[in-house]
Parts: sequence; structure tokens; C-alpha cells
Amino acid sequence: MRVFRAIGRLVKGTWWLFVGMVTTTKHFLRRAITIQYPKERFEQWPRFRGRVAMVAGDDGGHKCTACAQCIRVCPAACITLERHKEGGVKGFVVDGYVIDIGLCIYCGLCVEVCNFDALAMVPEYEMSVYDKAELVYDIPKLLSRQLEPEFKK
Amino acid sequence: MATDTAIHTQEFQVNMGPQHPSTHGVFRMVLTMDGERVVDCEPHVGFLHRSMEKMAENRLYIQFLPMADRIDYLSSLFCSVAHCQAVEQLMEIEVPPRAKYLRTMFMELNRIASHCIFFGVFALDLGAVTPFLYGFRERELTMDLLEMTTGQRITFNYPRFGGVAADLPDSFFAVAEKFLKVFPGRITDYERILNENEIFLARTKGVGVVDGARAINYGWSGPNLRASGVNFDLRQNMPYEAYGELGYEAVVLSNGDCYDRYLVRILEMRASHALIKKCLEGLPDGPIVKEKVSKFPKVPAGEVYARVESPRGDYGLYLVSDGTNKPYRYKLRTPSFNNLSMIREMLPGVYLADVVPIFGSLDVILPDVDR
Amino acid sequence: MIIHPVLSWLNEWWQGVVATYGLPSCFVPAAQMVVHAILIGGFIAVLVLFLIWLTRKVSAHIQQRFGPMRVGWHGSVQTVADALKLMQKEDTTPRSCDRPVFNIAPFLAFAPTIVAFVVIPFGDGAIIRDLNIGVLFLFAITTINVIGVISGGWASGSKYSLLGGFRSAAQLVSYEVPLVLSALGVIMLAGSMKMGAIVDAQSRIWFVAYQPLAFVIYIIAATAEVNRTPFDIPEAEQEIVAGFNVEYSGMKFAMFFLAEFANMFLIAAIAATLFLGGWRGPWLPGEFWFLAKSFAIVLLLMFFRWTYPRLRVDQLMSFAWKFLLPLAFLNLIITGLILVLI
Repeated sequence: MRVFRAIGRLVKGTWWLFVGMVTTTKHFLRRAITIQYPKERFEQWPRFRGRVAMVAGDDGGHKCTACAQCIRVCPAACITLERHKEGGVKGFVVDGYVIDIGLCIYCGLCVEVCNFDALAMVPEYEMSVYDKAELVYDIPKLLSRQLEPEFKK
Repeated sequence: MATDTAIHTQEFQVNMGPQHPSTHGVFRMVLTMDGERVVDCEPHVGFLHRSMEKMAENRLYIQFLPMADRIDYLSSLFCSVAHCQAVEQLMEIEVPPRAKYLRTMFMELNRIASHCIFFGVFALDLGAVTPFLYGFRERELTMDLLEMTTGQRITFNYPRFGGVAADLPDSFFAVAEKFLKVFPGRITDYERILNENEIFLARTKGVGVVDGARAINYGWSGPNLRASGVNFDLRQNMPYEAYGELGYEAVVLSNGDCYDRYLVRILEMRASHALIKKCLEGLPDGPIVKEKVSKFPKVPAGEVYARVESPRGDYGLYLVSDGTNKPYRYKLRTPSFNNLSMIREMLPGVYLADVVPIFGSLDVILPDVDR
Repeated sequence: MIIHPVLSWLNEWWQGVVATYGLPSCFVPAAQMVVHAILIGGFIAVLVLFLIWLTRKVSAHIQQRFGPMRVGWHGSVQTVADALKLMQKEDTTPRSCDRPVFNIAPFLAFAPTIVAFVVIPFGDGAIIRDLNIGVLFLFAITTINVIGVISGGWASGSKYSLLGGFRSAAQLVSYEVPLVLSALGVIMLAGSMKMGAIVDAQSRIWFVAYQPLAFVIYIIAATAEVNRTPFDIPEAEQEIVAGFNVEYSGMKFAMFFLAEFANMFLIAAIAATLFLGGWRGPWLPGEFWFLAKSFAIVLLLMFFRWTYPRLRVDQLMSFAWKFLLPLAFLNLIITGLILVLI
């Protein structure tokens, strides 16, 4: 009896080892699924949260009203805003708006809280630079890439 | 004279980690070895401590939401859902049904992603390299679905207080259909490579056996607990979100060894697959977020314990609010820490080669241990 | 059929040179040895470069990747680039190491492999020395490289490499026994230890037909012998990081690497010679058949490696002593009985 059981186990073991080999061989004959990155790139889904960008208004400028909601919500505190009050103008005047992409965690909360659709996340992910200072994006840089049509907050 | 000619042996210490290929992050074990056998093990945790709890106490509720994703980055949705649940319970917000279903569906997708990694890494721990890449291949599919909806592949920042951030895009259903069709076949491939493989069985069956009583004593939860024969799954026993309506039956195995801990996760992948299917079929219409919930809520004073069944186990969050817009106390009960706690008791007596599968079968993730 | 005429032409030419200029006659065998050494060295270098590329490609495609694609056609020159990189690397020596042993160990591991190629019949007449104890010489020589491995593991002064070295010693000693026993069946059938005679004896039917069990035992033991998965415990990455070669870098590491891959081919070549009829095959030249058979076995080993998990130390030992060894003896007894009875 024991001999039969041992032989049975041997056969079963060999069979499953063989099945494993068949599975890997099957995969060996399939086409590779990876892509050759710098030559080929896969397309981002439209909602992909890449870096933050500013949305251009009708006049080509930014739409920021310096309400500072984005600064309030930003978990990484990567947004800096300079503003001042001016007589005769309602609200604030924006002096400078800077996002440090090196600190940003790409959570998208700033886009979500913005009441004036001034911010958007663009599907851009290759942001490496040689100098850390280049990661600090000011208004012209933030405006440089415009939002893909489908992305809405 | 006999004593003089006897071979004298000496115990020695091996420093496994913090940088070691199979400690899944930065975990350090000082192993006292007698030849190939482990005599004692001294675990050291804390290399990845980021003071998550204190960070939560110094931030607005909404600000910590994306950070909760970083507590356990392989199953990040669970952490942020627990965060939202705690806040919702204190504020007494009822989440709309569609949001509940969406949360449930994406949590199950995330569970599949996490278990895929477990499958790959566990096989890699045993020396089989190929399943590792197969696991990651399927994880990409789930992450595609998550990215389509949430906008990110790992740290989703998807739930919001009273709902979720975004509805499904139109293209979602076709891709999801494809995934649901393809995935069971892929699990069959996994099973063909490992499940009955004689070498795999020899390495995992009867290794690191933990019975149910001991598992409970150490506060184990999740797949590890269920592999030891304890029928406890929050999705079944204390349903939250849409699990109550969907109905879920926990996967329970009885041996409590490395093999069963592996098999529970494979079976859970199939169960999650079925749940996602159910979710998509029964997805109700309606709003995805409760109206008139402030983005910067002032949470009423009180305390609450929210828990979800994460891929690693019972993820609990004890939140004390003093009525301001920041938590007063934010205590995390992460499953990995409790699951890891038995490592010192499990290791003595096994071979050095078994240390790796035992540690790997617990499916511990170090940021979850250290917070 | 290709190598033999070239070699004999070279030999005649050199003999002519020696005769014309009146050089001492001992120059003839000396020059022959130099030529052979260069041939083997060149062959191994090219072979290993190719084998590494093949491993990477095969593993990549099993895992649905492309593998190296940048350097040359489908990354074919990638290994050359890697070899250049290894040469440029700093040759680090750990402070706690036993310096002379540490330095000599890679060569101890590599040299036996080159020597073993002396008795491999690459084709008709393309064998450097057809020793009458060919098989014995082969197994005797290949065992020496365990000394290189264990001394490398010991001399590194690291606990991981020490464990790797000891594991390797235990493993190689245990698997040597079934390996030799399985080859013994073939020797009994051929009635000779001469590699040439063994190939000649298979001119009609390959020995794998008479000795299927021995062939299986040989493949398993050979996999263990060259430290491939599922028997790669001496260099188990996940347990002891990389085993005996964890402290090595640069060219010394490359030496271990060379030895590993050359050994893999060697073991496949022996299998082809003993069981699959060596260089014998229809139509095409013998060298082609020899390489084709060897590479088929190398591919088999590669598929093992990328499919199976790894065994544990004690399981490895009990598998060798309790399973393979009795089987090998059984095979020997059956072969002997049949030979006596017929």
C-alpha cells in the first residue's frame, strides 16, 4: 500500500512540475507586454493626476483670485502666494504664485477646492531636472502647459 | 577524553536587515544561529517611522486624507476609507448608496492589487522569480482601472467625507469588463505554477504553523487569522459600506501554515473578483457625494473607532475629536504590526531558509508596521 | 568535421616549420598545447557571453518582458558592455578577509572548468585528448571547483558567504555521488571510459533509450551540481543574499560568473555526450549536432530555473541521499543484471 502511495505521489509531483513548465513555456511563446520606455510611451488616462498647472482664462492670463483656499488645503504646504489689497479693486491682487513641485504630493486637493477653476492637474510625469531650483514653478511656467480637454475636476 | 575530541560548536549571530532582499522593506532581525538553525530572533522595527499619528493631529481632516494613503501604500484606499468613515461617524453623515458601492468596488480592486503583490513576493521569497512578474502584470490591470477613475496608480486619494471624489468615466466599463474576463484565467496560471508544485509544497506545508487560539492571543487578523481556522472577516461579521447588501462569505482554511496563508489569499482574489462583478451589476444611480458637507469640516467632539478589513487584516482607527477642525488623538491599529508580533515566537527552531517564507507569508508591509 | 581538418592542417604546418628551421622536436607538442589552450579559452569566453545573453533573453520572455534591447541587435552586445563595466570596477577587498585565499578562490573555481573541456568531444576527431579514463577525469576535475567556492566563502569573512560556502560544499559532495553513479550505467554499456568510445557506442541508438532513469538522475544531479534553481541554495538571494560571492566585485566576481556559466554548458555537454549520442547526427556536421544537443539541455536548465522555487537545505540533502542515490543504485543493478543475462 505504502509503495503505491509513494508512486502515486511521485507521479502527481512530476505531473505538477510538468504543468508548471508548460505554463512558463506558454508565456514564453506569448508576446512581451512591456514597452520600451523612452521610445514608446503609454498614453495616460485623461484623469491622470500629473503636475499642477494653471488654467488660462480668456485673456490668456491666469484666473487666480488669491482666495488662498489651495494654500489652506495643501497637505504638503508647497504653494506660496503673494498678494496685496489695492484700492478700487474687489478682493486681492496676485503678486506671485509659486508651486514647489519637489514638495507636491499630487493629491489634487488644491484643484478640488479652487472655486474659480484656476488650477488643473495635467497628465505630465517627466519632471526630473538637474537643479532643485527648477522644480519651483512660477505663474508663466504653471501656465505653460494647457489642460487636456477631458480633464475636469 | 571524550569531551575533548568532541566537536565544539558555537552559536553565531546573523544580522538580517535592515537592508536585505527579503525583509520587504526595512526590517531588521538579529538571528542567533546554530549552524543553519535559528535559535533566537530579535526583531527591530521602527526604521520607517514617520510619526503618522502626530502628523494627523497637526493637520486638518482633509489634509490628512492623502497622507493616510501613505500608511500602507500597497492597499492605500483602505486607510483613507477608514479615515473618512471615522469622520462620517462623528459627523453622522449617511453616505449615498452609489458612493458606498464605488468605495467597495475599488477597495476590492485594491485588495486584488495587494494580493497580487503578495503572490509575487512570496514566490520570490522561495526562489521562483517568474511568478513575481506575473503578479505585477495583473496588478497593472487593477491599477489601470483605479487610475482611470481616481487619477493615480498607488496613492489614490479617492474617498471624501460623505462620498467619493469622482464618478466612473465612460470608458471604465469596457476596461473593467476585459479585466473581469481575463483575471480568473490568470489566477489559474498562478495556481498551475505554484499550488501543487512539489517543491512549493515541501517548502510551505507545515512550516510556521500557528493555531487559531494563539493567533487570536497575538491579535492576528485578516488572511493570516483565517488561515488558522478562525472564521472572522469584518466584511462578513461587521459589514460596512456595501458589503452588507452584497453579502460576503469569508474564506477560511484550517492548517495555519505558510501554505494556507498563501492559499487564503489566492482564494480571496477569486472572491474579490466575484464581489467586483456583483458591484458593477448592482451599481445604484444617484449622487456620489453627500451634499453640503464642508471640505474643511469641524468635527463634533467625541470618539469613534472605525475599522475596515484591509488585505493585511483589521485596520482600525481610533479618533478623538475635541470639536475643532483637527483631530485631538489619532490612534492607528495597523494589522501588520500585530501580525508581525509573533515573529519572535515563530522563528526559533526553523532553518534559516524558512525564516524568509514565514516572514513573507505574514504579508507584512513595513510602513504599516512603523507608521 | 570542421575542427579536425583545421587542427591537423595547423599541426602539419607547424611540423613543417619546425623541420625547416631545425628546431628541437619538443616544440611540436608545446605549440599544439598553446593552440589548444587558446582555442578553449576563446571558446569559453564567447560561449559565456552568449549564454548570459541567452539567459537574460529566455528569462525575460518567460516573464513576458523583452530583456536587454539597447546594445546591438536585441541587446546582443549587452554582455560585452557588462564585461567591460566589470573590468573597470574597483576591486574591493573586505577588511576582515583572508587576503591570499580571497584572491585565489575565483581562479580555483574557474580553472577546473577549462581543464575539463579537454576531454569533451566537440565533433568527429575534435577532441583535444581522448583520455582512456575520460569520464573519470571529467568528474574528478569538476569536483575541484568546490574548493574554490568554499574557500571564497570562508575567506570573505562574512557570515552570509560562509553559510553559502558550506551549503555549496555539502550540496556538491552529496550530488556528486548520484551524478557519477548515473554515468556509470553508460560506462557499463559502452564498456569504456573513453569519451570517443562512448560516442562511438551510440552510433545506432542513443544511450538515453537504454538508460532513461540514469538520464533523469543525471539531469537532476547536474542541476544541483551547477547550483541552478531549484537547487541553488549556495547562492540563494532571498536567504543568504548571494552566498559565497557576496563580497566579490569586479573581475573576481566575473570569474565566479564565468565559472558558473561555463560549468552549466560543461554539464550539458557531458549529458549530450553520455546520453544523447554526442556529435552524432545526420547530414549536418558533428559540431552542429553537439552544440544543438548541449544547448537543448542548457535551455531545459534555464526553464527549470525560471519556473521552480528553491528547496531547503535539509530537503536537498534528503532528496539526494534518500531518493536519488537509491534510484541510481537500482539503475546500476538493473543495468548490470541485463548485461550479465544477455
